[in-house]
Amino acid sequence: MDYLVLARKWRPQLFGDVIGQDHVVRTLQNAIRHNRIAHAFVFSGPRGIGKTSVARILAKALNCETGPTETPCNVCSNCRQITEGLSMDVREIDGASNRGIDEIRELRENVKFSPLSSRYKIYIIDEVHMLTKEAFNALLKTIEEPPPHVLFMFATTEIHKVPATILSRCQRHDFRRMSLRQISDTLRKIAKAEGIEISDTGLAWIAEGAEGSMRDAQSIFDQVISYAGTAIKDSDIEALLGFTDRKLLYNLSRAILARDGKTALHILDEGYFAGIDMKQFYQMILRHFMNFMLAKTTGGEERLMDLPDGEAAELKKQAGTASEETLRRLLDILMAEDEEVRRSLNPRLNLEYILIKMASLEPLIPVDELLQKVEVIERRLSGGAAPARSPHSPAPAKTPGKQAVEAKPPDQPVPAENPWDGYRELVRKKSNPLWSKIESGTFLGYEKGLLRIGFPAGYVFLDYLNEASQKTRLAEIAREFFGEDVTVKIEAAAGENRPVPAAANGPSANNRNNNDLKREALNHPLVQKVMDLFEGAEIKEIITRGNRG
Amino acid sequence: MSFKDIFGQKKPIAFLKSAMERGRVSHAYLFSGLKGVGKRTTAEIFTRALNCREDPLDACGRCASCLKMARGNHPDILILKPEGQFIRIQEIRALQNQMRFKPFEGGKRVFILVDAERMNSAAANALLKTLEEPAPSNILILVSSRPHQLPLTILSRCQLLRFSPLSRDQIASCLTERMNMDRETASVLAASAAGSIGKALKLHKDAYLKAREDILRKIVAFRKDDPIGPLSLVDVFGKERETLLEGLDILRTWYRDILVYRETGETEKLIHRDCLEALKVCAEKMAVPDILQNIKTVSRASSAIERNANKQLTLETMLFRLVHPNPGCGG
Repeated sequence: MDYLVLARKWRPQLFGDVIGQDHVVRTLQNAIRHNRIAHAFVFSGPRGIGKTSVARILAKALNCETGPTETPCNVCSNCRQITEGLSMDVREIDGASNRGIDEIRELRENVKFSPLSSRYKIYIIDEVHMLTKEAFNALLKTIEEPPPHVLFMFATTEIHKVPATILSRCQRHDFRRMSLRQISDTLRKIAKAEGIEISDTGLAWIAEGAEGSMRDAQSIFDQVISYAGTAIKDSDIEALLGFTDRKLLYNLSRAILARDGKTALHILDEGYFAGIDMKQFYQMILRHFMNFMLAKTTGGEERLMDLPDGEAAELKKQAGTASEETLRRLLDILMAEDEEVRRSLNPRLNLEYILIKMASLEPLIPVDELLQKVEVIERRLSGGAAPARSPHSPAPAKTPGKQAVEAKPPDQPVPAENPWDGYRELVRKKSNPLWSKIESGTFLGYEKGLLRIGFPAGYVFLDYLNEASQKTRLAEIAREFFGEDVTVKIEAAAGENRPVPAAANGPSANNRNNNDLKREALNHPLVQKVMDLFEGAEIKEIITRGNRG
Repeated sequence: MSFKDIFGQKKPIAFLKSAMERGRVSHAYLFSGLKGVGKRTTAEIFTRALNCREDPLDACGRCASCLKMARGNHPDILILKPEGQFIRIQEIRALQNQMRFKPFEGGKRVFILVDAERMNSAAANALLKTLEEPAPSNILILVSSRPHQLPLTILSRCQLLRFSPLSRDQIASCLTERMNMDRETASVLAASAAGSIGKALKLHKDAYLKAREDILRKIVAFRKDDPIGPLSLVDVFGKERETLLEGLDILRTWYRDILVYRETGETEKLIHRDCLEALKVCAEKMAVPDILQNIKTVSRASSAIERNANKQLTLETMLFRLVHPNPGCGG
């Protein structure tokens, strides 16, 4: 006798054996009890969770000699034949191999004959999603109104490939993935019955590796038993399940975040010689770093990251060591190579390239943080500039009254060589609108409590500034600035020429004019563009045309 | 041949033997791993061992069954290969038909599906029911170097066995024993084969060694101050697309070696270990970004050539783009 793998040996034979599909089992049992059995069923759900098994059990329940019953006896000849797949009245069809319209026509021919030895003629079409379009359509009339003795059961992992016209004619049952606990409990039962020693941790590991599928769990369990015999050590399971892959992944990301290319290469090498397919490894790394991003942006919501328990903590810990910008750049490097890796004949080289590129990435500082730092520096500079400047201007020559200087609060701007700048600054602080109006003015002099400000004739705001209220306001600010009572005088200068404080300043003012022009020329967008375009270009001389002429 | 004639793969072989010993041989296996590491050979020897009349755990090589297998006329070992691009549903149906009868010789009938990931969707689905519950005394072994391309429904029905790449020494000793190669050639080939015996043999057949030497010699002797230097290099790569791509791959591994040496300072992982001196000099003179740049340049060139770009132009552009270490390197 052949060895029967656990998944086949332990296939549920009664509704009671079916694990984790209570919602389906209960519906079916009640339907049998109340004699309200539909004539067509669809069972859908992921692999290895009992769709085919439930179909067979239902067939037995209906055709059992003691039935229809919720608990088929499993001993009568009908039940036994169904279990062995020999029953003439329960035809289990492999929908993926017999998928054409001819097979369906043949089935329709046979549907009209009554069952040989049991109540119903039952057609179980497994992998029904692979039937061709024509085959499905040929079935429509038959499954809508089959003869009273005929029942259809369809099982599929890909319900979306089944046409809606089929689905609307069937009673649909969606099977669920199993929980870790359900899987490990079942495995424990099997282990006990088979006389196998295995720890609870080991069972939990197997359950985890199965990803919610009972058959996967049983396949792995089988493999572990073939490998290690009846006394199973945890290390055996670890070796078989390839947990080491996950460990490698974490070591790898740690090395990359620590910018340790050497270790990263060693780990890659280890993975390669452990037999991991490099293209798949690339996908794993990609997914891993995607998880980092998720951990960072969601603050570690585990629901979004498809992770085994206990890994989330390690993930968060590692993600904490890098900034979001760094992670994004690492992910960018990874993703950019997707196409290359996919087509590569030697993906290992690509991975080495990627890893070193990732490891040699300079850590990035988030823009927010950078701005904050700039701000701090700025503040320190402006805060530090005032005390730095004060020793240079202990007593401005033009400001009379030493006591006034002493009376000032220390952080107030001190009247410098030209008190106009300081004054304007203070006005700006006090009242922005006012500042904008006097900004273009010229300092004409300050003597004995009289501040004279000059404006070009025809200045728009001249009248406005000459109003008493504005003058008072300016005077108030001036008093604060100079530390004594000040009268403000607004003067309109004649002509276009800016009034200058003294005649001796004439050439220098002219100079300044030139400088302004030159600065304007330098800032001209065209010049800027040229500088951008031509690397290494420099501006040697700026010639103002007016002066030359 | 028997299990002990397989180089490496201690783990999967031990696993198969232990399954036989305990009488727990599954009806469906998936052998996965790099191309040319012995997956199919192991599957065949496993078949021989299952059918051997003398030795319960191995192939004796003397009994009638083993002799038939060795001569390739045993009726109970069937190998399915992709016909063209895919393994198609017709072949799976043929497999199902053969399964209706009991094995001719009374032992186990084994179907070996080579490159199983190349089953198209219809074929893979058609196999599902058979893979889950084949007729008694039938065993299916899927062999694949890209197992993750198989549907989950297939994977869930198989026991998975992973075959790892072989170490450099294992390949070298395989080459010296089987091919009567001298040790030095064998070790150079083994280094380039990246763990796959199949690749090492193919390289040997393709006169890889000579091509490698030509390319490396020229690239090492290359001087920046020679403006038409790159153009003289073009000829080295040959005219045929295949040889050209292989040549580019050699160039890529050269820069890869420089990179690895620069990063780790170790020599045992290097492919071109026999040119260590030149390699060291280059590694000292090139910065990591430059090396990365060069690898990228070579990769771009080979993907352009794969897409049928003008070979001459692509190569010339690539050679001009490559960042070369300062003159005097390897000189």
